[in-house]
Amino acid sequence: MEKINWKKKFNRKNVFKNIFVYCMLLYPLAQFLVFYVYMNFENIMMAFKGMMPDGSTYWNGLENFKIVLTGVDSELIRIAFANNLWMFFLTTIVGMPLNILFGYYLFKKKFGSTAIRIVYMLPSMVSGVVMNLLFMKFVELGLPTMFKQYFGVQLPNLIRNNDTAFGVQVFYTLWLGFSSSLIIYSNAMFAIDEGIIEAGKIDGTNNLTELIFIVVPLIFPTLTTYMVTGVSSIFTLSGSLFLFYGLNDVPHSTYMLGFYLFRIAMVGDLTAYPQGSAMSIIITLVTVPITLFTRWGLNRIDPMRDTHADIS
Amino acid sequence: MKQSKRLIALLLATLSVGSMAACGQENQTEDKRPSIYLSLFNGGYGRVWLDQIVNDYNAAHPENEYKITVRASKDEFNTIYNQLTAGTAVYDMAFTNAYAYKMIDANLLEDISSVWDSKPEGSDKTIRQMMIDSENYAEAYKGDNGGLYALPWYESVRSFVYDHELFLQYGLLFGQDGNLITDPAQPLSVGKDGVAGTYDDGHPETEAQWELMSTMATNMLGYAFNYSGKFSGYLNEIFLMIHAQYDSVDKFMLNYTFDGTYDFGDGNGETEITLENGYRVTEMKGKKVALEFMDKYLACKDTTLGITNKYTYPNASTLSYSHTDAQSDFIVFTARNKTEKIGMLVEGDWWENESKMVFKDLAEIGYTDYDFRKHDYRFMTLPRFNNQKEEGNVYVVPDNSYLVLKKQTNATKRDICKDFMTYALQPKYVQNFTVEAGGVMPYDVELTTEQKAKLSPFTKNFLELYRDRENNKFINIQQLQNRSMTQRGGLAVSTSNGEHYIVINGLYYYSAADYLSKWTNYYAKDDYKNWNTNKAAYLDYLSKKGLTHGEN
Repeated sequence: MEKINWKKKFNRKNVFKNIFVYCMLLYPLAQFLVFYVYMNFENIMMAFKGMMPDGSTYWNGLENFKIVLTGVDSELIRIAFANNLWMFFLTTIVGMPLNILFGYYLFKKKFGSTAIRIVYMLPSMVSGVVMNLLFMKFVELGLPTMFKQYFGVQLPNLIRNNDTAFGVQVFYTLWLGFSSSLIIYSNAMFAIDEGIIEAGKIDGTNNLTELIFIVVPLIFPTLTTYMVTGVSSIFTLSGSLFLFYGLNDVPHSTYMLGFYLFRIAMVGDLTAYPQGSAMSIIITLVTVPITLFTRWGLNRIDPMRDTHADIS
Repeated sequence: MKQSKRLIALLLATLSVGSMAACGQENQTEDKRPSIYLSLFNGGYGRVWLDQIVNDYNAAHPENEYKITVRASKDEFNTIYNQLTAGTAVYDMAFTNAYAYKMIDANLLEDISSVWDSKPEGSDKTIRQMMIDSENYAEAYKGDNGGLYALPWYESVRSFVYDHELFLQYGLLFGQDGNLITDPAQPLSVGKDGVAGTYDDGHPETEAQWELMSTMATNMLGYAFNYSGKFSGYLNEIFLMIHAQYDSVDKFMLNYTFDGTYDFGDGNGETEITLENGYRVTEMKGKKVALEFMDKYLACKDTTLGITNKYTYPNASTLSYSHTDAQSDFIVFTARNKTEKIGMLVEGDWWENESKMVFKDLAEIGYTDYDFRKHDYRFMTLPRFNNQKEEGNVYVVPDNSYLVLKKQTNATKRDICKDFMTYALQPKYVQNFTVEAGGVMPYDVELTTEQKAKLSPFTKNFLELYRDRENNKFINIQQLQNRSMTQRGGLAVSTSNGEHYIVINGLYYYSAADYLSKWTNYYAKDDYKNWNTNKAAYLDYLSKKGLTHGEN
């Protein structure tokens, strides 16, 4: 057994070095303890308490869960639950292949790829509120005028119409998320070793087979990360409901769980906070197994799993 | 290179001077004292009136350890409340409106009873004695311990604004024979107040006259009405005004008290309204009348329904149409468009001040009769509805701002803030709020003749209307929210039908009848489940406060 040289370990230089390291670690550690451990602990505890308008609390058992599941808002919550699933499915499952295709287009540096890159980054550069206003003006005023002028069709206000309002939310989310996804996917593709692509070409790959058999497997960790983070936030998605409709009159048909929780916080009715906490716990209980299963499943089907480390 | 650096330095210096000037406070650079921040929602009334008070106070009290600094923002109640709750508010005092009781209940505010009973300079009365409706305000802003936690600031009115000159020119006002005038010089009818030369001359007095005026306005101008689709909550007050006017203010209060009687016209005579059957207030006849009025004249409909509203400017149906868009169209579209104009705008009394730049820009390009505060805009009074119970007009005060002081640990700051609050309510500042911003404060302070002469035609008209308590009744909705336990406990159902809080948004999808039936069914469904849930929560709220229903 090696003998520890205590004298050397605690020499002046090491002590100062350690103090410095511990001091540097203290702040993030304290932050983690307060804003993660304590906050989540309080959140969990709050789900079982009632809260008075002055912020004082009392034990309330499972009453908050009962209110969430069967109370006045239960119908709205059910609509929101379904909408969140749809939003995830349409923006991630349907959106992802589109993003990969466009990313691949940029990767191949085809005609206009630089211009496309800039155009698609624009929404991310302009303030969200301004972008939202421009989009709304276009959909509410521009689009109906265009349709009437060119096709002679009277288009409804797609943002207000109950049949199309949620679709607009999905489209807007897809559109806004497009730029960041595009950059991430194309950057992941740019990291692929040029030699592998060349080797593929020698073996006779065309663009489609190159994408399917070389590019996608090699960027699979990025896809897995996207999918796992997407699944974990599946029930906290809120679209852009607040920007579109404000706090008080979001059409019920477009409600989403993230907005429901956001509204509780924004209205600031302390007595409703515990129901928000109960709701979060229910969401967590549903999301955790789905997320773990997704991660396990994606790791299993990773075509390069021998070379990729598990996404942990 | 050197030259361009100098240019950049000069530009930066100009910018920094400009931004300091924009702060609106004099001597900020010389005054090195630390600040006590005062949060202000910088909306329609602007900030000039407050800057003057703050500048005067800072200059008058050089001995204070702190100076007062205005923190102007667009922070509304929810933001202020959340910041106070989270402890992240950088300000010590705040002007806001709506649910004061939430801040009082959450113990976030300082008791300012002493300010209520202090005498501001220039007044021989205390603030409480100066205050109009002080008993109700005390009820609204009191805590469980009897302390008072807010000072009322302004009261506003929202209704139909019209261009009097335009209406005269197009013959859209009524003459003394009850018909629309045919000549602008023709004498106007005396209006519902029965007095010539007042704020309601030439206004429609009956539903038939309102319809005639609206139809003619549509035919001659193109559009009779306009409002902001983005802030369509503005129209909730129109609904409440008609409801109260039709059913009477006393009966309207059933929405808040759930204690009294009402004749539903079902042959059973006066039915007693209690907590048990409180959901029946949704069946009050005034609600139906109000919904039908709004459905007919104001509601824009989903195009898939195939219903077109000929009276309203189409952009009002869009959610991106802001209040400033609506104001701008009302002024500029009307001024510049030769063939189409907009007759009326649903707005609050602050709208003229808020549109200052629009007026100035118009004047600059040659429309000098549209210069700021020059044009004769007025509030249009609602007609007398068939079988209405109230004698005169009813107005709803939609925004009732107040000033609060955050709970303090620093006694020096607390004392300065309280001293400032008393200082700010000097009669000259109350007067200046009307002169400068065009608004009114609930304090018994008269304007001088000189000050009255400075008012715009619109503010003069509004002031006249606001002071006429014989023919007009005012329902202060936000004050009611604060003093009514049923509102605090989440029971009241004055506009929300469970799906739509904003009435006009509901009417986008439903007819008045369907909307009403949806409203009634919301409470009645599943054996009154929703009503009973709300009632249980309300009773729980009361019991935790040690109160019973009907006791404040």
